[in-house]
Amino acid sequence: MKAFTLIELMISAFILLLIIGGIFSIMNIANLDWYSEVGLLNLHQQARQAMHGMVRELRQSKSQNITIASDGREIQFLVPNNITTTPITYYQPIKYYVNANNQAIREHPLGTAAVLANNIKNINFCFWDGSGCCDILSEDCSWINVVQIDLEAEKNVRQKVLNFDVTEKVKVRNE
Amino acid sequence: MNRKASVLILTIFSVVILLILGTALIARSISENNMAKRNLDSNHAFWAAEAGVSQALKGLRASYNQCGTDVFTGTLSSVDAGYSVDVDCSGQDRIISSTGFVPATGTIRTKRVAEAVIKKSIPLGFYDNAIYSADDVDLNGDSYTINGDVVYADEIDNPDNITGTVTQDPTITPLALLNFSQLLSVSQAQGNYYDEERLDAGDPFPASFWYEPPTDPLDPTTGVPNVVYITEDLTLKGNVGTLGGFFVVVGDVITNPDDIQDTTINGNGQIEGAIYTRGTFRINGGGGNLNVNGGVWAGQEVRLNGNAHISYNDFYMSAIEALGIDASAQITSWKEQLNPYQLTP
Repeated sequence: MKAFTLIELMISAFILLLIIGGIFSIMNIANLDWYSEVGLLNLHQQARQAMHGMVRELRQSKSQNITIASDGREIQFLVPNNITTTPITYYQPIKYYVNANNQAIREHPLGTAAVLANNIKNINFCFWDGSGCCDILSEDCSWINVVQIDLEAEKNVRQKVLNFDVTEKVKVRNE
Repeated sequence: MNRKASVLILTIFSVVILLILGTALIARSISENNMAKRNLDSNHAFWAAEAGVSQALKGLRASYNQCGTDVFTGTLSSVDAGYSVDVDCSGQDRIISSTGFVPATGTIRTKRVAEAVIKKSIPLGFYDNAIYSADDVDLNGDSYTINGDVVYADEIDNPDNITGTVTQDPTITPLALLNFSQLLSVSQAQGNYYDEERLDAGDPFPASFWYEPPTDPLDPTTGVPNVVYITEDLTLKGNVGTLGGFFVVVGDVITNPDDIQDTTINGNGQIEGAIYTRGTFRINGGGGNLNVNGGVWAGQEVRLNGNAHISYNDFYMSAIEALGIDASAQITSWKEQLNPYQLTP
């Protein structure tokens, strides 16, 4: 059995290099996609988790007990503690907003902050009047019992910007 | 050199990498799928709990004395969820605890519990005020006058021209629900049922408060007021002249309990009687003169602008009270028993 010649070895090494290069570039693309998808999934999870908690708490409030900041970026409200007493007793106020570090924050009691989710670019709150957001600066919105929450999540994964927006309308159950 | 062996090594290497990637993907998918299922179950359980609350409200409207555990049960077949409702009848109120669970039969995977208080009563002093607002009272300018007491739940602005007591009472919200079926029957018998078609046609409202004037001029309970039942917003413009009756502005509330209609009066004229509206009550009197001689109930804001005058009329109110209108059961407060986050009293 004859040995391989140098040319044969060089050609086969070159072909192997091409194959490995191809595999690596494909794996690199797959890897990037993998991290993007994982990042997006995490973003979805965080956004939904934050939204879910806000909706569940806000649902228990009543429109008269909800205060939305004029720029819509902060909401403060009360939820009932004991509904069987007269008058009803309430827990201390709850506040939601996004801080400078792009974290969704829940304050309760006021001044005690807890991070609900990271990578939250913006949250906007408004009273939804059936067709759009009621302008709290020029209209009386206190009678509206539906609050719209728009949440924008954003994350950078390997120089790729991932976005996820979610909107919920919450009908407060207490009138 | 054995080239077959190198092919084997490369193949095993590739297979191992693919297996690792595949396993990670499958594990991730299973985890995501489980989370989605749990979330879905939780939502279905919540829907079922809310269905239980609705069922309890319907049941208690039909018969208010249904008390005990598992008084109302049912399933949501479309989502494989069920509910059971306990009703506590200690006192006049009904405290209901509705548990929604998934699945409808078998071992429960998820449950959510909603608690609600249902009341069926007309508050004391309901017929004793010029204005009774389950929300705000917004009085603008200094041309308005209110002769009589004012009760409000939330806030009042500029109450200087009120000759009567002004009382804040947060417990009057939501506005007491009257028995609208009863009012509807009375209004139809009197020919005072105003639907969209009749309102669009511009059919005039009664000009007098009385459908049958009191047989004893000193006893309002010997007369019968006009009960004017309106299924749309009530909007009056220009010179409205003199109108009379007990105006019930409630929309299609019998088939849609959430229906809320507003009353808006722009212009001048005289209303002899009282107005009950589940929405907002607004008078834009402008330069004209708009008088309400009777009283006003509103589920939402009462706002008076310009030359508007509301006077309490005890004679009319006594006649309305003498109609013997019942209260209808309604949910006055609601909470979910488990909060997703820590709460501090």
